[in-house]
Amino acid sequence: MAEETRISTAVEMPPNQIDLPIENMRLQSSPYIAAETSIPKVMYNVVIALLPVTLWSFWAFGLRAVGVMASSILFMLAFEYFFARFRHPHQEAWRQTLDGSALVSGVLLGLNLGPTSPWWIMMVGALIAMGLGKHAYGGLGRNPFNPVLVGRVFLLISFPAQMTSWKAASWLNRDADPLLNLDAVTSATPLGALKEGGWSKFLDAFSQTDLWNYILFNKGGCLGDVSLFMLLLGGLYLLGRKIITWQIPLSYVAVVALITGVMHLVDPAHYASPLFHLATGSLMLGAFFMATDMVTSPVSRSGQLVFGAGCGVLTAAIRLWGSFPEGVSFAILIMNGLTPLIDKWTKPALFGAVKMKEAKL
Amino acid sequence: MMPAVKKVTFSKGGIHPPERKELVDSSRYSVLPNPQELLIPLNQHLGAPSKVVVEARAEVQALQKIAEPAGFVSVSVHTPLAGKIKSISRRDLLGSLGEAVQITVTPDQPPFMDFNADSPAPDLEHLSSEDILACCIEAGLVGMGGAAFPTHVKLTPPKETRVETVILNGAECEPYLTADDCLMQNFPHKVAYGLLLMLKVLSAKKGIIALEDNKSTAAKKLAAVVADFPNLSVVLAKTKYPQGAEKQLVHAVLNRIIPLGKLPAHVGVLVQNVATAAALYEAVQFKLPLIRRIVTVSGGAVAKPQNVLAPIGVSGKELLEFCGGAKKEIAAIVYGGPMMGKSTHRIETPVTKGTSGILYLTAEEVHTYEERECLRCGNCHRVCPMGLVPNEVMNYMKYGLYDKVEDALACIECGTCVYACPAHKRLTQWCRLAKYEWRRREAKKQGKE
Repeated sequence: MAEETRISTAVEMPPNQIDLPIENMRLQSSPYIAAETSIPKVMYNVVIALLPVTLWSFWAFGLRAVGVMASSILFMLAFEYFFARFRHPHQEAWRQTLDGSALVSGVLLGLNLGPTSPWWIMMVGALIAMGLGKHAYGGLGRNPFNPVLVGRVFLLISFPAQMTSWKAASWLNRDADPLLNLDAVTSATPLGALKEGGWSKFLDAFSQTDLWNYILFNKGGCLGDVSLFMLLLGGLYLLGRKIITWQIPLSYVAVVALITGVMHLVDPAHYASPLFHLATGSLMLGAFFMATDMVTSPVSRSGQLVFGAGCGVLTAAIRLWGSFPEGVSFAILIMNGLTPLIDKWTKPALFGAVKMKEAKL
Repeated sequence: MMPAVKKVTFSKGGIHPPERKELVDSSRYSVLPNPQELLIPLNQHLGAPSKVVVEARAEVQALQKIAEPAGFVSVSVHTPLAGKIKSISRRDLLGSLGEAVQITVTPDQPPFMDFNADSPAPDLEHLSSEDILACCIEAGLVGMGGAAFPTHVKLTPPKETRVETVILNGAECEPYLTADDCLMQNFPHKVAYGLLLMLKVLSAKKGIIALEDNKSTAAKKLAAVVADFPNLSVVLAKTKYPQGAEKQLVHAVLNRIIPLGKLPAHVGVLVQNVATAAALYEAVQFKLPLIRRIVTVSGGAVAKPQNVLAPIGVSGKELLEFCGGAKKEIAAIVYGGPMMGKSTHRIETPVTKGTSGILYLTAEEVHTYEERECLRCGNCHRVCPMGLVPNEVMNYMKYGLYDKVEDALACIECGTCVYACPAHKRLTQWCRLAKYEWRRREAKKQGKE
């Protein structure tokens, strides 16, 4: 605006020329209109997508789950403000805290924890996620790694005992959970049980159970694992609202299915069916909500396909041959690190970047 | 009868902004009464500013030529009304400095020329392409879609190319604007005849009038007119912004891709605005210079938004008052569409040959969001019709990596990236800066060598 004023005075102006007061006017270069979208709108849409599975986990696990989720969100918001305050005055830090990104992180961390997690697990997770995962790099939009996964992997490595003792989710008949019967001492996740005993032994234990009902609505493990159906519902909502694209979830899921499927055909007694792999270990949570994190995934469609496929290969490899029972977190974090390279390699061609011959003359 | 063709569109990107064309009744236009004063800029077109041929305080007749072309890429300028030259001075008009002729209009003269109601078919047999080109230059024709490129230059494509198809661009994909729609609905004959004249100049075989499917009335009327000419056709394109961008329109209509840095002529196509075609017809048939055009006066702040036939040089203030003045506080005055137009605080900025609309927008309509952090969500890339990754260009520019922004040269500055960005990053503006910076550096490099 200052420049505009300078130019005006430099030009010969007839006395009767009327200018509207500049200070009231929007003088900018085009465009002048914008879609009704904003960062909070994107973030709160993700929260809406996570609501079904969150509420279902409350229903399945009871008050403990509510406590885990509430403390996870609270700690996440608190640490977001704490770290943002280092660099910004109160108003800006407060605005960043409420822009929805920390809320999404909080909900996602809660969904990644078991219902019996003690309160300090949520605190340490949020501290690491916000401090090391997000604000160490400069806050929203600058972090190379998904903050929630940074927090979660930190917890998994530091406190394996608290992170892997799960509670069965059968609210109807808690004794009937087949996983409890697999190992009398403590509950395990389906993937953990698989790692211990192999596919055939696992199937034996499940022979008395309605497997589909178990997987879709009633699975043990962390909060987000409880109902595959509710997760998919949220994922479809995000796809429908065009918050995420189909490239990452599809290529991720397809590659995991392909690799585990081939291995299942090779040795059906040892390797689990691909459907089982797709349904367990937060794979869908990872594919729809974690790998699709915009900040840490490639921009172009082809890049997203490569990214999803890479996540799939790593997840399958860790699950089948690694020492951890599940590999979603590690796979996504590793691919997060490769995102700048993928962006560089899969840079999309410009419209018109063709030779004269190909221009359909 | 609707043309029985499938609706075409371009392949990459695009957005669907709220059209807001319903603010204006596009089936009719009002004629502005003679203004008391005109301010006619001499740099309304791309290329060299015209050379003024009248002197201050001289009397001029209606339709008299007041400036001559200064070189090949330049056009003449005429006055729509008789009057006395008040001054010839340098002005700042929409951000570009240039000479403008101020004319005090003689009172009590007949109103400036409305469109001729009857449109006899042009005598194509006895017209040579030289005649038509001469008419173009004499009448001061420029592209009336907004860029205002001299028409005779465009109708003289490079020697190594051969134009076989002429596309008339009636897409009018910008929100608010209905000036072209209004013209096509009221004067479909003039548009079609103008296209025939263009085909004649270029000895091209096929003429296509392309419009978006939200202009079905205009499409029907045009289809009825072109039914008599086997070499003309009407094509409906999907309503999607920026359907009217040259490269996108050629791709949509003919499925041809214009290589980067090349002209449509390199793929055998020429694109002209429908209003230019109508003006060409009038220049050839009635020897009428380009002295008036239909202007859409719209926006939430205007009391009676409408299409107005306005003489070139009339001040925006006059138009606004004719349309009932402002009913709300004006937050932005935009000359052109809201996606690619130019803003000003000068309410008296005159109508030029390229002014398709003047928008008086309220604060609610104008994008006033604060910039936030880029989420790398990729929306800008997904909506970019040129396949750019605008956020990458922005980052390169921010961190001074100017040697990596060559891609930005492909940017057509359509504004879709800014429109779609949830962080409201000024991506188009960054691309503009990148183009400028890249060209400046290239020029410097060449200067050294």
